[in-house]
Amino acid sequence: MELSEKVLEQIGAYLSDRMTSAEKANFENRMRNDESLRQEVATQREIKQGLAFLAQKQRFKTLHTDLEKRGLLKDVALKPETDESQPAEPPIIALPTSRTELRTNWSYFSAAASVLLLAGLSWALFQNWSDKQALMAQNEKSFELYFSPVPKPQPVIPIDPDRVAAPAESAQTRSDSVRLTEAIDALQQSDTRLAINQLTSISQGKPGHWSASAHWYLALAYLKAQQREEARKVARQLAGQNGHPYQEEARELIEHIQQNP
Amino acid sequence: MATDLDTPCAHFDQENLAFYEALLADQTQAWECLYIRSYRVFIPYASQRSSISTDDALDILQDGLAEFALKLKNGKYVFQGKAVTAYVFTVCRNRWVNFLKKNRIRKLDASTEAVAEEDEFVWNEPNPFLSTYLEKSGDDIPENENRENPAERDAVWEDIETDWEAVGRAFAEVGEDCRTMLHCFYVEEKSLGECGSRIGLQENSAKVKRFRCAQRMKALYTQYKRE
Repeated sequence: MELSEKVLEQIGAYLSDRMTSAEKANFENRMRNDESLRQEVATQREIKQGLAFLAQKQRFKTLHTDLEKRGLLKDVALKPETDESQPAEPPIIALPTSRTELRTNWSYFSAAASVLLLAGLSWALFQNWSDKQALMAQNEKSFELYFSPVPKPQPVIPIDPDRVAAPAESAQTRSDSVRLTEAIDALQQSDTRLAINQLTSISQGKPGHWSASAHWYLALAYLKAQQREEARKVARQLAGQNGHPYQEEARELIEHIQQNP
Repeated sequence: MATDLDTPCAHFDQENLAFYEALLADQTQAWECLYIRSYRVFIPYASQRSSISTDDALDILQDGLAEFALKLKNGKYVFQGKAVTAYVFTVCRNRWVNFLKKNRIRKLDASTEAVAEEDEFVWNEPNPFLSTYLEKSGDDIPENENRENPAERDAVWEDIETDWEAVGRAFAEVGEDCRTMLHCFYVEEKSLGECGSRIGLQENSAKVKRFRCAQRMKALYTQYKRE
């Protein structure tokens, strides 16, 4: 049904319960006899419910920020639970028997403590560096596993016998496919900044096969740029889109990232 | 530093009818209390049983609370003597299970998987919050959900699932003025004059704007829903 201003007004009144009993009965009767009106009401109802849901979610996001600022969402909730019935015994440290002994040994303690501190610091720095290197290598490995220099071809639309002429490929579609190829080239040459810019632009453009493919390559670009969390977020969006050309790959990538933290 | 005075739950030490009525009356402190309790129960639960990020767990929690808020508003949820937080937890847990399935994430503890699939969830957690609710709640969604709501029973169409993601994507693309207009019309249910004034339009122009925005929203939603 073609939505008109009058119908929109009526549906708005119906869904907001602003109709009188007689108006409501009349409107529902029309719906029973007019399938297209019934479908229009259903669509408008979905949009209304969806927007109400989004508004509520936004409300809880704001509430979360506020409670966090006030210190009411303590991190203690996120820590693993411990067995509080058996509190850990504090360590017992033997003290020196006399002040003289303490003074004599002070310089040795000081030197030993300095060495230990230095060694600990070095170890922590090395460990941090080492972990970071391992994560970077893992991201690169994941990228190599899923990256293909050639995107999937656009699916061929089956010939419709009733169609008088095939729709011409639009200039926008051609432009997107060329830009996607350029972005993939940039990605292949490790120019992740350029690739991310281009892929973001294409994926936010007119919906279609190439913008959808750009979205997938954007996830890979983030991975290559060591932005693992961003990559995972994009992949998660794709994994939830039925019919997306890279839905299956996105799901596998998420699983791969989860299994290789 | 939080004190008892600014802790919202100090006013609702028990999850009784008064708490439910405070939520119905949209009292800020009641919602803050529900959020804090649900957060403390659900986030550790999800984080310890799956390798999802805290951001994802928070997202699921806020989705669950949004779902609950709508059910409360449209009368689909009614208080039947059981803890509201227990109900919210179950809504969130169901969403969490769906999230794990959709993203093919395994649960860390195989035993919880079996539990989560069951209709009747048993509150047997060591977490003190969960233990408290265990005593007070059977965690029974069907008992709490009002399936006899006349508004639902009289509906002349089938209950079609709203595609939240498609709505979100479409809404993000309609432009700032349209977002203001559509939120005012669909969510706040305000008059044309009121909605128009928010974007500096007279009533006649607002009517045209609202219609165009609704048309655009519908076209985008229908497209994304199909994808």
